Amino acid sequence: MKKILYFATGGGADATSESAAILADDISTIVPLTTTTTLMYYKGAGDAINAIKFGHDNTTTTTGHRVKDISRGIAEAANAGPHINGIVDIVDLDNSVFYPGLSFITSCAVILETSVDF
Amino acid sequence: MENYLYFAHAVVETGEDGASEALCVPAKNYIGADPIDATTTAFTFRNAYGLKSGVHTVKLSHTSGKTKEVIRAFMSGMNATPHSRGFVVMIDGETGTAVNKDAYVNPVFAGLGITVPVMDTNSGDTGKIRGVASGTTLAHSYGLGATSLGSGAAGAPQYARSEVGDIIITTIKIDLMGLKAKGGDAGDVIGVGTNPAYIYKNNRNENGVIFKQTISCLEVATSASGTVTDDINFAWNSAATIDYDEAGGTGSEINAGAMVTGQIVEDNTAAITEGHYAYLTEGSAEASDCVFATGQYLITLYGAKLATA
Repeated sequence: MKKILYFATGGGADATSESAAILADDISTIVPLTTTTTLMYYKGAGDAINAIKFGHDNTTTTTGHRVKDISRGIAEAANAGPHINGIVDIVDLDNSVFYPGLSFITSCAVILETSVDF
Repeated sequence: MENYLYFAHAVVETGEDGASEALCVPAKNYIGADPIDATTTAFTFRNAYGLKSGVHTVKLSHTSGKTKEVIRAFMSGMNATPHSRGFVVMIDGETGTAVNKDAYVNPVFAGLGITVPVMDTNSGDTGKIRGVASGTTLAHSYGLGATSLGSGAAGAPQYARSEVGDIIITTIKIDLMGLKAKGGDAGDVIGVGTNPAYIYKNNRNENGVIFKQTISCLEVATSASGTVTDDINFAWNSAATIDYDEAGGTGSEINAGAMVTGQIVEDNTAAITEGHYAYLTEGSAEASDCVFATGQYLITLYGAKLATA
């Protein structure tokens, strides 16, 4: 079964980039961006590079960067099942729904055709 | 089951700079292993950041002469059983500032002297580049006054760079929506608000010595209010502080004149000074309090680095 991961920014999911339903197979990289943000890159249409940007608390001086928790949650969600219908909520800020262990996420932005800096 | 592999440095704070301090990648993107020397083995993953030609490389330091054992252990971890639930921590060395956690080395590496990994990312030969707002170091820096506004606006200038042989090609795409042309004097900067409106910095370490520059009109300029100007130039200035309606001058400029969609104007005599900043400027005073509704331009810079031994 293909796994679809769902993200909603809290904007009502009634305009472009306010939510995204992503094929788990399209995830390419998860990295920290700053101490309070983490990026998950995924394949878009054609050559497009899209990303989900998570905002979260700064735990780098205590339990470590949240990138690890987010990576774990996404990896587990990508392998979720079999008692699901194929779609797994990761962060739905419209309805305050989080994948277990990810309720520390405070913001979620869908970045279409983003780019990388190196 | 699709496993996702996690690696982390001692300190994890940043990651989008080609040398991420932590990295999570799907195991399916594994390409191969390369013994760099007796104590270092590199593991490579395709599709870095979603780039077709991009690769992540994770370098593991280990006991001398243990390359094959390290590769075997890596494969064992990468193909971990369902008990992993898909998330496999290979090496997590994050203890530098995180005082309430311990380092973790996957037991598959036991006895191999594995230390904290080094992660490198290569974007391949092409790639888009994220601009740096208010930056003054990197070439792809821009002032906030160059950020287009309004429904459907592209926002910040968009950058890309590729290399063809020794020629470095840099492109800057800029949307005029919401930007303004006052119409006071020719050479005044196009932008918005009271923020600097530069769109690029000449950094020879990145773009090489620029020997040709072009401006292409992708969408003709129209106004939402005021009197429009489509006489738009591209000029360079030593200052990174020039706002909308302030004098940008004519340094190393492309005097494009009024352009229509699909038109390109080329300049081969720019001789752009290292460290100067690029602006879009008014080619004449024909505007009158113009707020642009449309207008998109593509700047292309051709450069080359000096030969070295």
